[in-house]
Amino acid sequence: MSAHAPILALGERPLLPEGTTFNDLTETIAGITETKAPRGWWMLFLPSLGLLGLLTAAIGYLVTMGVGVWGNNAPAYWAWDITNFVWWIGIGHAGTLISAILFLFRQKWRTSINRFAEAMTVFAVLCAAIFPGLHTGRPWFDYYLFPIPNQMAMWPNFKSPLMWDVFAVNTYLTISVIFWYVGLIPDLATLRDRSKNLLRRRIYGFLALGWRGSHRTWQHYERAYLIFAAISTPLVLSVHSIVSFDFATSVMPGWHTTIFPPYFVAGAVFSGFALVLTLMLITRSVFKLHKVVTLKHLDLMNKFMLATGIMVGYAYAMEFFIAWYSGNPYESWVFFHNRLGWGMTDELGNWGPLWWSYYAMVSCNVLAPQLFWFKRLRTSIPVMFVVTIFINIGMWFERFVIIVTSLYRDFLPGSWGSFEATWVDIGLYLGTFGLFMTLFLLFIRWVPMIAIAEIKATLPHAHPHHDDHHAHEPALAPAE
Amino acid sequence: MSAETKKGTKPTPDTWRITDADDFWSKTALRAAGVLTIVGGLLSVFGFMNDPNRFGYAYLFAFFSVATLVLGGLFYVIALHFTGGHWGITSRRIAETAASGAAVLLVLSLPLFGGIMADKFDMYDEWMAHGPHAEHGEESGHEAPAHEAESGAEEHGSLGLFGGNVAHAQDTRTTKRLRYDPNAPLVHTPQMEAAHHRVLEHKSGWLATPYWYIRALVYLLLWVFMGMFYHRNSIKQDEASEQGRLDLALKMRKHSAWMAIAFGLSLTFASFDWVMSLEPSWYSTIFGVVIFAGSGVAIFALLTVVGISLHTRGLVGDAISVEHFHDHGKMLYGLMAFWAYVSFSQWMLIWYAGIPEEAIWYHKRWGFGWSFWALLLMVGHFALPFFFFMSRIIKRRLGLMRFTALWLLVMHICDVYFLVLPQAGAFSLRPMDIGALLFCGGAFFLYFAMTLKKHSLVPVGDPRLERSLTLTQSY
Repeated sequence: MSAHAPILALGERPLLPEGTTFNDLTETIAGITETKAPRGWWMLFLPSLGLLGLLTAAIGYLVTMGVGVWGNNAPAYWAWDITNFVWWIGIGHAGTLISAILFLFRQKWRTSINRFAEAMTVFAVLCAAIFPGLHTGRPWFDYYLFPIPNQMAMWPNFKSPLMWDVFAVNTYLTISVIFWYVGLIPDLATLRDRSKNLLRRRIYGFLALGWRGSHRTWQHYERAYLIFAAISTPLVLSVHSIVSFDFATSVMPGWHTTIFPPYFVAGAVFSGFALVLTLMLITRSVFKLHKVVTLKHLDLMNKFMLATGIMVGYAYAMEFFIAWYSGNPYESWVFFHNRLGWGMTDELGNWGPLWWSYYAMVSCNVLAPQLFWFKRLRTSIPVMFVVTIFINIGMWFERFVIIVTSLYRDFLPGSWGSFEATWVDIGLYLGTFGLFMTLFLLFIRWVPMIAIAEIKATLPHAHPHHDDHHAHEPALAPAE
Repeated sequence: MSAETKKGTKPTPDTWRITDADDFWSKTALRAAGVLTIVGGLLSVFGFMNDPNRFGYAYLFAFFSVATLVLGGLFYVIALHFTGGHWGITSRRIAETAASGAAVLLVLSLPLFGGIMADKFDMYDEWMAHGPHAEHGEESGHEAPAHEAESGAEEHGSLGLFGGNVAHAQDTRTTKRLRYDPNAPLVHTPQMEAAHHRVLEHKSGWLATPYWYIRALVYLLLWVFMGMFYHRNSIKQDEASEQGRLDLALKMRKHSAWMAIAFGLSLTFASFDWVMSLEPSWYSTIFGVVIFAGSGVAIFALLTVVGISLHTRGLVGDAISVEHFHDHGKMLYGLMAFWAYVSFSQWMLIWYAGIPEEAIWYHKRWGFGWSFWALLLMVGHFALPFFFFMSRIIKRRLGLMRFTALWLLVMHICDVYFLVLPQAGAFSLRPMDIGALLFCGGAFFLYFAMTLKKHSLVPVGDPRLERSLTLTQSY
């Protein structure tokens, strides 16, 4: 134990406040699902339902009228729809990173946020799936996406990365749901055992799959958890890599570049962490979770965002450098003219219509996280809240920049166009927030939003030799 | 001396050391490295006299292989400091020693840059000839100055911006340097030549010689500085007082932040300048990441091989034990898979889009005798180890683990060979390739073994040392 006690001189701090007991954690976390919802919850839930209504209306209108009601046009064939799809898929990645990759790296601090982030993964992937589903134009034929044997012998094009995406996203969703659920089982059993009425006990009892907490069940559980973490790790990299292939396999300047796969993965984790943190800050204050999600956790998450933000910045820099270095005039046109706006003035002296989106992207994604170099800013709640919002916006713009500013002025000046979003574009995007937030808010009310069993393992009492020595020393949790 | 610390006694800088009692690390390894360096040096000299241009490629390959080991060492040390990870502390000294080998790299770079300056190596001539000083000669077509005549012809022999055989009629006098079937029909139109020329002209500012040399010097000095910084401070920490150790730990952590960025950028641009530019019209944004992944494989393979040797000889006791090798194995496995992921991404995207300027690079690596080498890497650097090395059992059996690490180290060197040598033409593994590798690798290893012997094998001054000593694998 002593070796793992935080070395205060090196700035290490225990994860959870001193003196936290197992019971404190159970009471705090399980209590959220057992007591009346605080007013803050309702203040979020009702608008979310409203936005969900907007989503339904927008989808209904779109399906009735056809995709022409979007701002998409020739040459901007892809626009908000695919931007939103990539953005939402990216949001999901933080969940898998936290639950699987940080698990494999033995990062115990993940236990305060993993459940929360995993749930977000599932909901974000659902929101993402709406967009390409609608973009097919006739969503009632979406089953054509799957290779179902049919009498016409018609098969999807297996050579298309769009097809790979169907498989990748579906696999990812399936594994994420199972992984999430497996992790939930011991906590559902806790809720079952604490239930005061029969219905509640029956429902949680059914969902807990007969969990008894015996040594054998724990052993199976731990093994399954490790295997799912090992499967999810390559999966999460593959999903966003394949999303990036949707663009990078083309010959479109601004789309075709080899760094796209790791760059998209880093960007996805970056944006996912930002949204996890935005929502975590709100939830933490609504449900008073300050002792479970401490400043230490928030600090670590901000460091992660700084690191991934720099990786994304590296990818931007490489794209620019190579756009110039390649000597490929189309490539440099897209980067220096469409994106930076150099020399894009028309006869009236106006810059190209969308130049500002690139600057929005860089300031939000590369400049804003640099504040996190400073510990004082990294541990300031208002600063981190604002920065995460910036990152969320910036990462949306990143996809918009990639998609629209590459497409709308391409090889043939005669076919140049522009893009303007319609109310249906905006309504659908806002509407998916409604879907996401509704599911998310229901989740925090009915399911333990922090992994009770896992977080307890970070307490000093969980250490088998905790009571052996150092009885007089203050009990400090391992600093990991 | 190398006995394990008894419980309760604090390890001192003398606890884990290479002593004269150990024949291998105190004598045999040094002698072997010395002999290999000399043999490699002789082979190199013969190679150089026989075919200086071809030797340029061989030497670049050897030099860059060693560079990836140094870079890998820097990565390990810097990453361990800024993440505060404790799992790898006990083997950090080995990585620090490898990283401080940047000084050897600086010395090894002299023949390379000297050869280029003296116009003995022609691998960069295609764009160097487009530098400001040679512009006139290029403009006036084929009346290049005498010392550039050969390299000028070589330029046309290479497959530039366009697929197909661009051998020029004039090139027949340098057939030994022609890279492609001289009987193939000529597809070298004046327009193509002009376009190719335009691309090289465009980037001549970046690749032109004075700046190129200055940048190389900057990268190397930066690596020397970073390598020395961590090696020196870590050794100072061994002897320091309790407070001194904490201060040094904080200092090393503080500097790891900017160094991580400087490391990433210098690695990327060094690989652009030295390797990507061998095919001057080729470009790939992921190239730096591919080199980074390879460097990661290299250092974890080296750490494992050296660590297991020290462990089995009883020189480090259990300070570096099976628990640590298990973690090295996981990292090695992960980085190997990451290397495959980024290499596959690069290849797949270029293959799928089929843009000639990009596809040319793989064109030279598939055919002309290189196909089997590409397959060797696919199977040996990924498919086989991916399945063989997945199991926990392999990572915890020292014999198997050592074999796998050695295998991946060899595969990594094969990978560097594949990055460099296809640019020299059809596949031919020559004694000078082996010679250059033995020379550079031997010199590096000689330094490595000598430096390892001088200091404690484990950074005993690290405040988190005990955590690393008591590391156990929970899963």
